[in-house]
Order: sequence, then C-alpha cells, then structure tokens
Amino acid sequence: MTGDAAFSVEDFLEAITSQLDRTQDALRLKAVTRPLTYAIRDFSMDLKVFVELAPDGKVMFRPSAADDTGSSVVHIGFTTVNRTMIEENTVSLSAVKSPSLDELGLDEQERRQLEKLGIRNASQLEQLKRTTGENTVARYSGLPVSRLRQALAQGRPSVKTVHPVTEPSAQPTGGHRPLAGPNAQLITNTVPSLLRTEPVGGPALESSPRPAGEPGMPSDAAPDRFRIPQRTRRIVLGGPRIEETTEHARLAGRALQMRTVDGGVEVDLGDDAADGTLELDLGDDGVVSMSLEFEPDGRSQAPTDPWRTP
Amino acid sequence: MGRPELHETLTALLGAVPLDAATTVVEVDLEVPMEVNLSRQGDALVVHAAPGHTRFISGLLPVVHRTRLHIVADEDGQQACRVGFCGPLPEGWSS
Repeated sequence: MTGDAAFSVEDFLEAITSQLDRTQDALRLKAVTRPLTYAIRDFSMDLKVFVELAPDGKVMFRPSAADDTGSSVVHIGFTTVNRTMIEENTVSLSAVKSPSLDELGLDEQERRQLEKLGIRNASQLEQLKRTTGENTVARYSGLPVSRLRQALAQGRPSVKTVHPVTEPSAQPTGGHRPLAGPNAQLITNTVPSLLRTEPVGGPALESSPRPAGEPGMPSDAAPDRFRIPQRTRRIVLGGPRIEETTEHARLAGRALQMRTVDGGVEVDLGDDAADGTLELDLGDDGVVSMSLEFEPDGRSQAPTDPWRTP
Repeated sequence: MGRPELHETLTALLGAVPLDAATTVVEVDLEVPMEVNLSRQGDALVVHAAPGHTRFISGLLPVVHRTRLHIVADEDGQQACRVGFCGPLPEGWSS
C-alpha cells in the first residue's frame, strides 16, 4: 500500500466489500451467456500496516511503505454468506432509522462512551436499557442515569407544529389560498396529492403547554394545546420521528384517517370535528396526546387580510 | 500507469480459469502477492491491487501483501444465487 494517510478499519472493509460486490456483479452477467463460470467463495488478505489509535479512540491503519520495517500483519478474510445470514447479522431497519447519539444531544465524549457498549442510536440505547436496566447502562458507560434519561427523552417522537391544510378542491386560481388569522399559513398546492405549507407572517401553530397532571391522558407528559382555524378539515402534524412512528390517530376517541407526508403525518379530522384530545398512537413509543381547539369564527378573520372581501 | 481496481484484478484472475478444457476445474486456490494502494474518490476509499510487478529483488520495492482466493465452479450461476447474488440483473441486462 502506498501513501502515508491512515484510514479507518471500517472504511477499508467497506472498500474491499464494494470491490468484491463488483466482481460478483461481473460474474453474474457472465453467467447469463455461460453455462459454467466461477465464483469467489473466500477471499483473504494479509495486510502489512502500522496500527494506530486516533485521539477519538478509533483504530486506524497506516499503510507500510517500501522501506518500513516492523509493520503488523492484519489477516482479513471474506467469505460468502446467504440472505438469511445477512438478515440475522444486521440491525433492523427501525434501529437504523432511530435518532443518532448526536441527535440525542450527547457530546463527543458521551457518544464515545456509549459506542464502546455498541450503542449507536436511540433505539439501541432503549433496547439495552430495557434488557439490563438503566443503572447497568449508566455504570458501564460512566454516564449518570439522569443524563441517559434526558437523552432518551430527546429522542422520543413529539409533535412540534400543526399546520392546517386546505382542501384541493377549494383552491382558487393560481393555487394560493391564504388562511386568515395571526397564525395564517400560505398553502401552495400545485399537485392535489402534494401539499406544501409555508408560514406567512409568523411561525407555524406552536403548542402552548398546559400545566402537568392533566387527568385522563394516556401519555405521561401533559398534553400540548393547539389552536386551529375554524372548519379546518385536515392538519399536518410535524415533529421528530412522527412520520415514521405514527400508526393510528384518534380525535376524542374517534379513529381518524391519516397518511404520512414529508416531516410528519396528515390527519383528516372529518366534517364535524370539534374540540377534543387528539391522540397519535406511536406503537412502541407510546401515545402522544394534545388538545386540539378550533378558533371561534370571529378570530379566524384578520382585519388586515388583503384577500378578505368586504 | 496506475494499478487497476481490485475488482478488475479479481475478475481477470477468475477469467484465467479455463472454461472449455477437456476436464472441468471445480475448485481453485490462488495465492497471489499483490501490490495494493488506496485512493479516495469523493468520500469513498477505493482499493487498487495488482500482482507484484517484478519477481526480482532490487532496491526499494513496493510492499506486497499476500492474498488468497478460493474459486469454485458455478454451474448456471447457481453458486452466485446460493450466496445471495441472484437478484435482478443490472439495468439494461436480461437473462
């Protein structure tokens, strides 16, 4: 190997695997025209490298140069595996989609401590906590229990914004229909199935937290309160991991139709929706509840609305 | 001239196994000392490898790394299928 730059073991294995895949692809094509061909069953390399430990704890290989002596020999063997073996030895897709340790607000040192235990995302941290208990995780990682709880809480799905969506059929020419009120949203609709909401003159409808301890709520946390314009039929609930985890939606106990959209879910409240508790069933992540309130008729018309007809 | 990528060398080595001989080769074990170097293409690391360019020992020669290939006969592409490579062919190809 030439060049003085050190590389991580992970990068090197990935590079070799990619090369072997390309070889197999070429063989697969060759098999189309040839009744008999050959396949690589095993491939191994004895690499002469200098093994170094980077400041961040990563093992790095520095290639041995022509005049170097005393290098280490790393024997790397690759063998063929079948689909079942791949599935058995890889993490599930949900674990991959789970927020990374970085997204949980953990600093570099804390991330490294957890990575030593094989934890790379929120799902793995949650799984280990469930299996061994949070005290065990805290003891082996060196992180306080409170810090682990805080990180896990940050990785949970939550609703941050609620956007009202206009009916595609109600769109005026040009595709723009402003909603009145202080929290008005400009809904741009070019294709009926694709709705994009942009805030106009203010943020999306933010939640206003209620005092904790509200009775009758399925989740531990006190529900947030969202106010939406009167006669809103559909709303988009946005927030971290809402899109991937939401299984069902209910308003005052009534099941609602929903579909996933970019960054959240769109919920059809129905024609006769009234104030009530909106619940999102997030499967293993529990239930997120929020109080949904319709603004009274008078409030949904802003006096400065340029679209308002006198 | 730069070294070829590893997959090109491996494909060439596989292609060296005679296909139309009177007897059928069912297994080959190849031990090849290779000169290996790495390059970066964007963020990805690319492995280049080729058999040692000389058999003479002279001056400072590039380091050679021993590689071993175990090649097996693959009738009708069945081996590729068994090891999980019988998926759809790349775009533009059909069987």
